[in-house]
Amino acid sequence: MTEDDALERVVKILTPHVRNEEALANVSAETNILDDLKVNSARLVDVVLAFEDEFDIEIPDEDVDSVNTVGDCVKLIVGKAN
Amino acid sequence: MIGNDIVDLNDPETQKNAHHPRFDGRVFSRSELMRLRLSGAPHRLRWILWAAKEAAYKAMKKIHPNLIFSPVRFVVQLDQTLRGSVDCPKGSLDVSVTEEATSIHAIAASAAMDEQTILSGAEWITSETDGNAQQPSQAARALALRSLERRLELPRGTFSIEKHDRIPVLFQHGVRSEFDLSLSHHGQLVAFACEIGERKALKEAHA
Repeated sequence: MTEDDALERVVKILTPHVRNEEALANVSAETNILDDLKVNSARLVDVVLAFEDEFDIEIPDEDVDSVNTVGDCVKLIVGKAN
Repeated sequence: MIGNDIVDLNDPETQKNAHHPRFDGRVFSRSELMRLRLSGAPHRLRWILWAAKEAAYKAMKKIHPNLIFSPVRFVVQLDQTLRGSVDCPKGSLDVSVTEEATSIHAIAASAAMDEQTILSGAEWITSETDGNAQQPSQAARALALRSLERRLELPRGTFSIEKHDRIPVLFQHGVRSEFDLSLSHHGQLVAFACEIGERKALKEAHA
């Protein structure tokens, strides 16, 4: 799986939970999931569970804590899935 | 240190079945899952427990900056009055939860829960709420500042709030205050909690 492929699928999963449409329209690897996209912490749990389902991986809370941006997210997923 | 969390039960995010089917299993401890199964109002209890965990994490993170938010490891114990404790990986905090028909507000503190030393509040965002209806974080700040200055009988503009490492910090005339502050917002609700400690001393220092 390439990072571009993962990015597309990550953004698709994030989209229903985003509260800042403008940030979503300009999403990039540098976009912060909490501060820019305004995904709240309860929704972040749903997002992580959806990532686990989509990519058939396990993401422990310790890994979630190290993820700030969409790019962090993509790297974590690609690293676990490949 | 203090932390708080507000939940808007009218928000689409908090409706039944709005979350992933494995949400409860990921977030709640075995004892909490048992309480949810036995509860007559599991949906409401779910958000009470979540808010208590969030509030405890916010308070504990200030003491232990490297603390990881692993909700299942923040175990909530509440009595009938919704007061109790949250056992965290780094210790235990007192917690108090206030529930209304459409909201839940949890406050966790490392000091004793005392209405004389902890000031808190919550309000719905309206178009008149300081003109910040589109920016809930600004509305939460405005509520905290207004409430603090009113309670301490200090002039408007005495306090300001800045974020340091994503954590709000209270300043008094530009000098960092010893009073610890926590802000939160969710849906159409904003809230705050502040350890005001010996408020007389603050007033005398200001005078």
